[in-house]
Amino acid sequence: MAETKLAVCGLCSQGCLIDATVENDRIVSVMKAQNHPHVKGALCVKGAALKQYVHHPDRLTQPLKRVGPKGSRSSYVPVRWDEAISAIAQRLLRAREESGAKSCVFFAGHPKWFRRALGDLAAAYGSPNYGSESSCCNRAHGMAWDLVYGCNLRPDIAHCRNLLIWSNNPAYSRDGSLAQLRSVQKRGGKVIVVDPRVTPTAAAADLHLQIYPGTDGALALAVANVLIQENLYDREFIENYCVGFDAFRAYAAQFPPERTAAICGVSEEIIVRFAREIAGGGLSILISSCSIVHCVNGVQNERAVIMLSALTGSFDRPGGNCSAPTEKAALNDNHQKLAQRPDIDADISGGAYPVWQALVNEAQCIRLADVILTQQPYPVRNLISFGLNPQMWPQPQRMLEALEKVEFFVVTDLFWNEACERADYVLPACTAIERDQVVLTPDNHLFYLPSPLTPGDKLPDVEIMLRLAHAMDLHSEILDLTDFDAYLDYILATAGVSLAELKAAPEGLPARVTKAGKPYSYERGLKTPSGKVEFVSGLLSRYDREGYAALPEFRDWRALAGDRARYPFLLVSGGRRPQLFHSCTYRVPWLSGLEAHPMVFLHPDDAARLGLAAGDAADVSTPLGTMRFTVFADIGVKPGVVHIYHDDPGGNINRLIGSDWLDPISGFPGFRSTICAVEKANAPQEVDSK
Amino acid sequence: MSRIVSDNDKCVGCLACVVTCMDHHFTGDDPNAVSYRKYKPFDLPRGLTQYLTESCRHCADAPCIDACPVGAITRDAKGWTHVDRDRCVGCRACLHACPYDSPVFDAAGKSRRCDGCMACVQVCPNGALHLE
Repeated sequence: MAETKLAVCGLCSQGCLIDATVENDRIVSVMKAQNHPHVKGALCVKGAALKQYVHHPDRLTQPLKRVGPKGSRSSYVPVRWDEAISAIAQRLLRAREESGAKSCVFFAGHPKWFRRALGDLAAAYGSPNYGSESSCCNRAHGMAWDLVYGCNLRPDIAHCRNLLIWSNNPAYSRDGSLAQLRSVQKRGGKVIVVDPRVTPTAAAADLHLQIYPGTDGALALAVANVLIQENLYDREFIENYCVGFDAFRAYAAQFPPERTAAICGVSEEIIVRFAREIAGGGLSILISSCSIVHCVNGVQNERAVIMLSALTGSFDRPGGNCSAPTEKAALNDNHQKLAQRPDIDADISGGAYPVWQALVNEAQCIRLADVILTQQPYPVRNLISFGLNPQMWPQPQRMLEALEKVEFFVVTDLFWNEACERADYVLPACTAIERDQVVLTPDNHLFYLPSPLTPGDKLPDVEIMLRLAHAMDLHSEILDLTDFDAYLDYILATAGVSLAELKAAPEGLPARVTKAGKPYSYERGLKTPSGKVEFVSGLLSRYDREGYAALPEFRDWRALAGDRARYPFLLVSGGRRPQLFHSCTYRVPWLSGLEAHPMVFLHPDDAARLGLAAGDAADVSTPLGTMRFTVFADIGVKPGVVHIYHDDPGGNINRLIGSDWLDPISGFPGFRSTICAVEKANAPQEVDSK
Repeated sequence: MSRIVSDNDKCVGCLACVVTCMDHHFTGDDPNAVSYRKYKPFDLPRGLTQYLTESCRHCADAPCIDACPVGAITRDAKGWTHVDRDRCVGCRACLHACPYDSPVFDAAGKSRRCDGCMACVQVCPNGALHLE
């Protein structure tokens, strides 16, 4: 009989709570969780297709071992879990003796929940080479905050006076709701959006600055300049808690509104209005994890943007980006708190990103394909991955080549994919709804949610890591746990509740341990070299490298990008579509079937000039090649700019984005700052990329 | 009236209603799965090109009922119109009769329409859909 149970969607990273109706071990339908005390459910278009995702015919259902050449599904035969774990463990122990621990890379893709266990596994094995998709996702954003403030604080939107949303579109990237934005407007606050596109979020704002992509830093400097010139900044805060302001003021003066308007493609008036609106404090800044930093000047641009928090006197004060003094419980599963890596200076980045190494406790893996293929700085013999997607990297064909070459490659995944085709062992993981969950609600209530589905021979990723650790006799607090239940008990301990008592409480339990945030951290000293807010970075000033200016220098990427006459359009990849989540949902027919894909989004005037209309085929070129896309004419796209969603199996735009086109500070690719040409596809032709 | 209508000022074009409709009416492997909510892009005065959605209006004076040559379309006591899929011959007379281009067709060519299940109303993150 069909039963409806509270469950975690888990298709993306949001962890939305849903009501799942299940019968005969299959999901019948899902809905956002409703009528549960403590729970605010949510369900987006992606989650609505959850049953096609979870019950997909490509799902991995048992461990597989390669017995023939790479590249063919028929080369793989089922193997028992204990046999697979034992073989992998023996191989890794032998490799460590022969080539040292650093010859093994441990890599985490999507999702993020298991990363502490994987970080422990890498550290206990002795390798500095734990890395993740954060090599091009969230870490550069964190670096900018660490450089300026020594911490990364969330916007206190519940108490802000004004909300600044910088290149974020929750209408498509979260549950689709604009309620948070509307709540600020309802209490009289202004919502300002900076985004190269008119998104539903931008369209709902009080002020939208439609800048050219990658000009964020110039705009922020111009706004800072107006705040300073018009004496609208928080002088007392700057004098007491900041360093480098005089040099910053002089630099920002180079960005008067009239000059900056031309750089950014907005009016002088709107820049001045922006500055006047945000003056006076209580400014919350909401920035998506990667939109600003997918640019070769990304960290510097984001530093300039977040300095507006200090300038307006909003930093770490209620209503700003702030450790809000609210009592919060926490599970002991923060995926950013990783075990200290051994031998950090010997990681595969080869010293190319020293500021990353100083601030980020994982190896920058954006050059992983080069490392494997060139064996520089040293040979990587073994790659142990959980959710590695080769299409994530710029020029992903290089990564596919590397996966063919690496001596020993283990893939843990949900689906059979092109990484599996190159692996020696393929291990099947549970989706979020197939494993037991403990959930902490915003009001500090805990639930135990047993999976409404039976996992079969699939395992939770952490269980796989524990079994590998046990087989290799590797130890840490987490690795010494007996099994996945013990892990759930472990992460509950920081909330003061045991798994046994939570299992016995179907209505859940309140957390017994909570902690309140402590705002005004600048009074106690920040974790920057100076202990203060740094307009001039103490860390960056240690390096004499291109792009490492201690001030938040605006280097216009368009001037660095090459032949603008041949490639006149600015290409942004990754701007969200509601039904897509990186590569994850293309295989879901109800989602991939909603729109033609791959698609190029153009302003209708640009399209018309090129003789293109909606639905036509267009060829997009960069120096790396040409690919064909279906045209979507969108009046919300800025003329001169095109948007293409990434990772499409029918043509991944990442093939046309250079693997050397990187931010020198973070190593992040210029996914949202690349030049291209667009032409009408006149006749069927050989279209390929090198 | 019995119909589900969209407040297009609140709609963000996320298409959650479109897929939820399929989720609540079809198994994941049903080749005839189709959403009863149609969507297409519009250039909106607020400055972007965005999907808007709609489903059968279950008109008081529904021309599709008379147009159906096999009498497959009926109206229930609450005002919802229904297509008897077994009787539908796939002639699309309902589509030609409909002033709003509302009927949708599954892979077998059979006419389908909104049955007022309310799943789309429940899922809409911005409260754009409601029963009228």
